[in-house]
Amino acid sequence: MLRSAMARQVHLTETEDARHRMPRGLRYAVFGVVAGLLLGAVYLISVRGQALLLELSGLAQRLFCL
Amino acid sequence: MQKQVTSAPASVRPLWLVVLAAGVIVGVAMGLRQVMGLYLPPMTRDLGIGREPFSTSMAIANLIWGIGAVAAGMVADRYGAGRVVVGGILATVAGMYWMYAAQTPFDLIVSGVLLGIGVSGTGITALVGAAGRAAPPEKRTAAIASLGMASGIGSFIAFPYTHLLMDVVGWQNSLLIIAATIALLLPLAWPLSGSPASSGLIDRQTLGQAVKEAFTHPSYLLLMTGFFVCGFHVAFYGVHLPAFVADQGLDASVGVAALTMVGLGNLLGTYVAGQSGRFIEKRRGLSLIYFGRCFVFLGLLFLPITATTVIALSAVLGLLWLSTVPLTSSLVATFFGTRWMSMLFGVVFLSHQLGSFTGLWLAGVLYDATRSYDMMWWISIALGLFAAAVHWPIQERPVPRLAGVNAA
Repeated sequence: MLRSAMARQVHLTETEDARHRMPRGLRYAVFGVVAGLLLGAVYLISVRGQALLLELSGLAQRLFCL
Repeated sequence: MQKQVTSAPASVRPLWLVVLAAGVIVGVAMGLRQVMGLYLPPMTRDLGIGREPFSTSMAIANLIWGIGAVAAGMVADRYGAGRVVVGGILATVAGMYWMYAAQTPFDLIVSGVLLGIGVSGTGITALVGAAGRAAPPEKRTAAIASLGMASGIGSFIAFPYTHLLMDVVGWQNSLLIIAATIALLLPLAWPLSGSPASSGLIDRQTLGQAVKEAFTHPSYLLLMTGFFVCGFHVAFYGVHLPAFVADQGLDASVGVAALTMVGLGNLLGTYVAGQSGRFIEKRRGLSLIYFGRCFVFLGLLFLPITATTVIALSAVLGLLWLSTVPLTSSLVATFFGTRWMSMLFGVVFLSHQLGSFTGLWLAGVLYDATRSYDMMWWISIALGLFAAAVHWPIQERPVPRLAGVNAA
């Protein structure tokens, strides 16, 4: 009896765990989108990074370093 | 008597849904916060106004974010994060539109106020409680780390994409496109809505009691002190690194590459910090992070400064960058439970912002006085050792009030 109650408890915990886990297909989709965005950002930084930095360093000096 | 909860408490929704919704919102909000600086040159040029109004507007936005984080945390803890998110999104959209239509310096100030309110409601400080409450204690640090990673991803990708968008459609139209994108986030408030689930003694704690309890809890005060150092380090390094690189006679591209490595390293570091609860106490993890930063700063003082060393040291610092956030916010929940988690983390975050301001200000002053960053590296090392020391004696256990509840 105790064993079956424990088994039921384990089953409930596993069900609860599964409910809180992101569905596999969605997880792959999220990883794919994020990876694509990151790769795109790295590419843009590699081709346009200096222009970006110049504008930002000007701002930082104006904001904090005068 | 308790009020009846009219919508489902956040904890009944799957954890992944809460974390995904909060993560997307935090990613966009924190990314947006980073890119506002890109609008300084075109706006001041096209509107024919000086740089001061724009700078003031951004400073106001940061100030309101710091103070608003506490207020937004209170509302999120009391009524659920959904309302705070909706308010934050609407304020952000209004702020962006005001910026788009700005004609005078006053318009920029109003825009800054609205954007500050917006990021208070959509930033990581407002949503950390929602994720913390939805997660069981053993998964809490990892759930919050996911928000930290989302914040890091948002900050990392926002710069280049916004820069490209501004080039393609012009700065004014880009503001409208960003505002429309943010408005699309409104449905994501639903998974975060509903009064926080609560029970027994924990729920009966009032705001005043929570504040009093926190400010008389030595470990909370130590945590707050340590987070000041985090703000000091990251703001100083993030803003002054390009100037340091230029001073060393290196090409500007080295600064870009180094900051890119910080951003990428931060993602990995935050993930590892989220998983670290399984094998190390959070307070010890924080001590090690601050101690590790000291070696990076020592490297910048004593190693030959080449492109390779700057980029490699930046990658290491990236691992130790905002990995402090999940550990710090989880410790707040460990001490006091999740009832007032967003508000209490908001207070700790204020200390971080104060550290950021101090780091940036002091770096400017010392550089002007000495024409070198050496003094700042030494101060950063001293503060790193100090932060490592103050985290070590933290008592990583719930206050007696919660221990009593758990025992009952």
